[in-house]
Amino acid sequence: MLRVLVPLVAGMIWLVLATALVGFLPGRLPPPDVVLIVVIIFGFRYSLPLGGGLSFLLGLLQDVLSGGVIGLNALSKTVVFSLTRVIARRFYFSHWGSKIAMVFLGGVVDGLLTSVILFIGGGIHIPGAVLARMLLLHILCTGLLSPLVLVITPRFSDLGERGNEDIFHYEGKKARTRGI
Amino acid sequence: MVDLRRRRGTLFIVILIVCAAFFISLQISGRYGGDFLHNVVLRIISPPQRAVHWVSKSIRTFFEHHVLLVDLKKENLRLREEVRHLRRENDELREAAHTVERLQHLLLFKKLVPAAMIPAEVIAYSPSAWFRTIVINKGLRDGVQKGMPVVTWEGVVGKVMRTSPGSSVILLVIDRNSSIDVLVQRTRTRGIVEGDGGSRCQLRYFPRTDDIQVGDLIITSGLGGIFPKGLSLGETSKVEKKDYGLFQVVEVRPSVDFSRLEEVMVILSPTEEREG
Repeated sequence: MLRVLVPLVAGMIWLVLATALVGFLPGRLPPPDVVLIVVIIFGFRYSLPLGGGLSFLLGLLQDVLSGGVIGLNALSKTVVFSLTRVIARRFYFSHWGSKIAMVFLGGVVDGLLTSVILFIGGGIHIPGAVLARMLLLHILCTGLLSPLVLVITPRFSDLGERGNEDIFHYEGKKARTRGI
Repeated sequence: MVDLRRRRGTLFIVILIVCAAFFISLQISGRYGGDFLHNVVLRIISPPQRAVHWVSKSIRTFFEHHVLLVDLKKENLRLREEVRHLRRENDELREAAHTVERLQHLLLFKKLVPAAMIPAEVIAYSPSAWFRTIVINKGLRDGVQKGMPVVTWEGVVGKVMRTSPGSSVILLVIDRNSSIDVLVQRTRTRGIVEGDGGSRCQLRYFPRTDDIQVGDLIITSGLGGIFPKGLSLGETSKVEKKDYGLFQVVEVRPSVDFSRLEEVMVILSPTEEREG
């Protein structure tokens, strides 16, 4: 129970902090997507059902708090989590640069997926150049914030019980979590 | 044959994605707005949001009033004490003057617009770059209802999108989903202002034959039934007339600085009509 609640609470705290502190950012900058960074951390640490469920819930919460289409971030964050987990199982992510690069990649996937869904639903009617600029700025802001979130969140999550989900099955043998 | 026990993680992810897609399709088709979910989550999240807002505000005030005065320790004790005292007093007076100025503007505005209004404080901002919204500390308990216009003395801020008993989500005019019927003040030509999702708006459906210049003031037309007529929305910052097409491309710079929003006014007009 604790290992579900602790990361969920960690994600919610980041979300509440982000919503309250975005006002301090310069006006033209988009808010960094803290949930995306937290979801990528989940991708390194948790199993598909646990991490996927947590990513879905945090995405849903983000949708509700932003007043937008419910399910949009829930879907994109679940996809980003799955992608991170697939990549993390195949490559060794020990260097901080690689983890931050994963945040940038996740940002691109999240942004493109959101744009495509909004485009299909008729929710986007802005020029492609403006959309691309917004997307790039959004990814950049998220990437710049990522070192802080990447350092703090795993320490907080360690307060929860660490169970079998931290162990990956690799070629029939158990191996410790790679990366964070 | 696929072993479902070994694939249950993948299956779970697929179910989650299908659920999310189902939610999205329900909203796109207009069968479900998600009001209940918004209401429940806003009830839960509003208190911690208020708490964080209060803490951040206190820290900022502390830094502005105390920590920034630490450098004066290099001077002698008496002068430092005196300077600190005077600066703090000065800061407080300046802050008080700013507050009085803001409130005076709000009062003047209230006199100009003949409608019942309530002041509200901005307590949170949208966590998503895709939706430009803010959360205010007034909700159903204070008489705030969906669709009500939100303004400041500078101009139009947006309209109420979601409400809960103690707080409301406001859709800003710069959001992509916002559209308002407007007039160009100088020529009285009508158009529709839509947000671009960044910090600007676009004036849509403005005929290429009509006169418009950079710096023209854009005001609400009052035709949508939500915003009273004559409220400032912004001024044109770019006018582009292409060689083809029926309309001109006009960029509007909102008169409200959304990065510095602290207090807003909710106009309590009991209208059900929607704009845009």
